[in-house]
Amino acid sequence: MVIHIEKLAKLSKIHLEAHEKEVLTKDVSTILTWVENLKDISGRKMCEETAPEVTEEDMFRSVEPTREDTPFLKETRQDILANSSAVEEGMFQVPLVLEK
Amino acid sequence: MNPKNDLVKLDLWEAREGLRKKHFSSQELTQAYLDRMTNAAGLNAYITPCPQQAIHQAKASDQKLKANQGGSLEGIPLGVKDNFCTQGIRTTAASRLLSNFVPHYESTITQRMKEDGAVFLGKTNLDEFACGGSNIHSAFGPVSNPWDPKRVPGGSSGGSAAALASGQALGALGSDTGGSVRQPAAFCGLVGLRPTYGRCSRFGIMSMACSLDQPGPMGRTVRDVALLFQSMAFHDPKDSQSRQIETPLYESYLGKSIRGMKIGIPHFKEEDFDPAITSMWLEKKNFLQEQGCEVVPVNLPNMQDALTCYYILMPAEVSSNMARYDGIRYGQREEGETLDDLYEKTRGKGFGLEVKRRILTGNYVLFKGYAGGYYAKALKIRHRIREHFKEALNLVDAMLWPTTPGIAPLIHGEEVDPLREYYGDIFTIAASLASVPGISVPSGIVDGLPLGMQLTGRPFQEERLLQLAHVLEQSTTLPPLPLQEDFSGVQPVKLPRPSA
Repeated sequence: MVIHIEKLAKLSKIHLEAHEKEVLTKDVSTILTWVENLKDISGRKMCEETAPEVTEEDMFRSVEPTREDTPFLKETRQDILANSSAVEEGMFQVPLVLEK
Repeated sequence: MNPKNDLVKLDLWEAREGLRKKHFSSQELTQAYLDRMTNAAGLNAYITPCPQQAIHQAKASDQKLKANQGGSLEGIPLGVKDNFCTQGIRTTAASRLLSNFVPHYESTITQRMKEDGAVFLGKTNLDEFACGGSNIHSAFGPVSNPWDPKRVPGGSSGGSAAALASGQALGALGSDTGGSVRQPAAFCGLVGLRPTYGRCSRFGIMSMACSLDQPGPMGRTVRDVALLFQSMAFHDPKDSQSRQIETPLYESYLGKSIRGMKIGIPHFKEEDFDPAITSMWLEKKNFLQEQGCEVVPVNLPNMQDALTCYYILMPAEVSSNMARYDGIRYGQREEGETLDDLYEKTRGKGFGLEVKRRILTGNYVLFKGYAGGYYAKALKIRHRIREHFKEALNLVDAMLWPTTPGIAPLIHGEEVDPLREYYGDIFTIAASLASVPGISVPSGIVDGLPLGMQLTGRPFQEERLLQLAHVLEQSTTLPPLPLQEDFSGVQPVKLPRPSA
């Protein structure tokens, strides 16, 4: 299986060193080749018999119970900012996102 | 009064009795454990020991015990897996990225256990973000198995297991996604319970795979696990998956007859097992029969299919959960020219190899166009596995099979065939996917190392599992746990990995 590791790393927002690219290309390819046997499972009709049809469109839609959308943590601004390594004037500091 | 260092030999139930009868104080008990933590530091079971806080909590417990007050775990020293958020105490998930993270809130489970009087000795080591089954994937170094320090304790709750088995904790908290409580319990000669998904609150536990994660208690005996579990099983409105179901008094089921209970034995191929495991399994089947259980064969899905399904769904969920670690709001930030550059460098340096493997695999199977072939299919298989379990558990009270396919492996580097480690989960994965409870009970010794048998049962009927497990554990006499062994000569194992 061919893995475009740089594209995958870019989408995952992870910088990889050259050595890691080599190791992870091999590993991810091994894992994906292995999970390819999923097709055989379908062939054995393991899942087709009773499982409801799940489409790519609805599989990300949550059908799980949700809790009330009301805050329950008593957080202060100071609490929230305390773990950030770059804070300025009570806000998270990030690199420029707009051109001057 | 017991000699001080003998206190670590008591199990949780015995220690609780001793405290209530004032044979010793929580401070004495806690200090005995802190002394063991110093002696056995080379096993690397703890990431952050909390001796001052522990003594402070023990003093408060002693005041309550003196007045014959206090909760169900009053004065009992426990280890807490370092993926449970603890207010004001560093919580790293064994990741370099979170090596300086101090939560400002407490997980529901640790909050309740504190209210019940538990003393927290410190935060135990794990595979980074609970991703692993060996505890070699920790930015703070691997954990050694107290039975043989050259071997892994299992994972991901490996630090909790090693601490318990070496007299560095009287009970411990773990979390189980695909076997992370049951498998290390088996490798270290302990009892570990994975409760039904939805029985215990996940609030404040760092998510790995949300549809599978479940906290679980670990102890030296089934009774100890029942006592810890009593404190953990309740409805929590902060966790949307937490179920509003009455909690029975678990201890009252221990010692009840199991006569007439039906035990299912799934069919596996002979070659799946080491002959020593096959004979251990047969011995336990016979024992349960002698106790008056009816033993019947049951049909379960192919475990290989369950493993494949798990290694699609789990990385998919991991890749989504790990997206929050961007270095902006918390975590070790690496500077970058642009926002994307900052994210990439932070995550590149912050995550270890196994977490990267899972994120990349997870994102691959979720690619638009591929997800139907992988993720949607895996969801269908999961549904089918659930149906299989439901059918089987309609016929029997519980099922019995080995927890692991073999003994604890030797500690090895991270750059090995990942599939080798994944296969270690083959017998614990299915119960996780089916959202049913499972308990691992020490059941024998092979090559000088402990092994466990697993009982899985009907959803939200953990009391039956505990009842059965309590009988099953009496069929085995293991050599004593190395609770008082001198580990001062053990050096932490160093693996080639950037350490936090």
